[in-house]
Amino acid sequence: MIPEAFHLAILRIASVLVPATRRADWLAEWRSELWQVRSEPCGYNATAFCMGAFRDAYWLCRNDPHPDRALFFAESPGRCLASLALLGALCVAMAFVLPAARKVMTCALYPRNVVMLTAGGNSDPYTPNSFFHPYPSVSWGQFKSLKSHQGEEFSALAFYVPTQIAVKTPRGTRTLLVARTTADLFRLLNIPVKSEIPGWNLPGNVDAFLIADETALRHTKGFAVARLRYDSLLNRRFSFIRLADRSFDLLASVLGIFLFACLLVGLMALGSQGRRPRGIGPRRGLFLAAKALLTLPIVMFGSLDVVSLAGPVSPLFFDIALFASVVAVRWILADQRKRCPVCLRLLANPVRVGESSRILLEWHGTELMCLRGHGLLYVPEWPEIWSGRQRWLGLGPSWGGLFP
Amino acid sequence: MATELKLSHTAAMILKAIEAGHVYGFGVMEVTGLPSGTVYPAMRRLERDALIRSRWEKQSIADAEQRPARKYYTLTASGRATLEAAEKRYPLLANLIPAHAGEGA
Repeated sequence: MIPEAFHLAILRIASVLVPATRRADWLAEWRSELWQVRSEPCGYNATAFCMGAFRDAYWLCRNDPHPDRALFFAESPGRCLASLALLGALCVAMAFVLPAARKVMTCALYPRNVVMLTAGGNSDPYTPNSFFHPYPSVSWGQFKSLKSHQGEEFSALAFYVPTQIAVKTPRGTRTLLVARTTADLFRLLNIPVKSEIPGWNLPGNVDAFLIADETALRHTKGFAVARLRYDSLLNRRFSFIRLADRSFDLLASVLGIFLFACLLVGLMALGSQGRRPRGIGPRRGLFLAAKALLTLPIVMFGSLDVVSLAGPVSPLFFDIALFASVVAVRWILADQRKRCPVCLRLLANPVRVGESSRILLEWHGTELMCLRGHGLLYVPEWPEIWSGRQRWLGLGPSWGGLFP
Repeated sequence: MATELKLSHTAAMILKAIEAGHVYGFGVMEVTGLPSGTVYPAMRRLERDALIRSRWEKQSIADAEQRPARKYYTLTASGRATLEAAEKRYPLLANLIPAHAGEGA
């Protein structure tokens, strides 16, 4: 028989949805009923019974007459920004925990003078430097030619060639991507040679490194990694990209996607916003900008976290980032509209006024109120030619007596 | 007017079950055969609409029977009127819900 503690745990989790004022009574009733269910001789399914608690709790939450309590984290502008900052920090922390995302994050921390050299090309996504599918472009001969300039332009230079090797394991044959490399790779990375290379994620995403001699490396193209002496490369036949920049560019591309989403959603929302109330000052605009700034890392690192749940970071990252950006920008604008333009707190007590099927040529929509008495917001249900936009009605100080 | 309220068949069954003496949630579930995820939210709505009211059983009674105290539901006057109207709409309702020897109500 499933222990009672398990069923009580289900009820406790469901109780989180219940408004705080009713939670104790709700939990007491469900615990009492659970006792009844578990003591039934015909063996009623207690787990199925407890799962019904989620539906009950959900509807209690939906029908709560005090929804402002459920919005504790978003109600005041300070708490809203603090919640966004906390969520952003959580997304960054998760990116350092999830293995695939951690590779991207740690790459961004590499020294600036460690670069990957490519024969021709640039940092276009379809070149050898592509973050997702880098391919070897330097031949052994070119590497030897570069090696001759080591003292002038590079303090260290290494070469490796990824090769697929079939390895027999107790569970069967497994194909590993092993990089045959020159011995100086480990000196270049300043790490002692041992069974793994902690913290480094070189292009090619290989499973293991194998130090090899010239005969094993000369027949195919490979990756050349160098530690630059200066900030540029004199040899025009080669270009380079800093290993740190490969990750940095990937994350920075979300900024472009986010700005695109801002433009897209901003254009779509153009015209639905009412006239800007007078005498408000710059606080409202600053709050909007702060929300956008704090939402960006949530989108950036949240998308990275989500895509890395499915395995190595893939181009799907950009699709998720675009979707997350549109959702985030939509939320930023919707949240801004639901706030009092004076104190920036969420408006409350929505009241539906009128009914479209019964009122001809009369205003019908929702009226929201600032709990501090700054005014009322009228949001039309349907945009008509005479009242298509939401309208803010500021209340003067004489109304102060009606509000706490 | 409460008598004008039109109940769904499920809500009418729950109201009838309470009237028949099945006065706590699990009792209603047993007699109607409805799952917990349907019965409890429906009872909250019926209580919100003042068709039923709830009260906690005295702790001393529960202690005497060595079980947790139950929350009992009873019909209000408007609940009875609504049920009468629902029984005209669903004539087989009385056959579906057998009467129960009253417990706690």
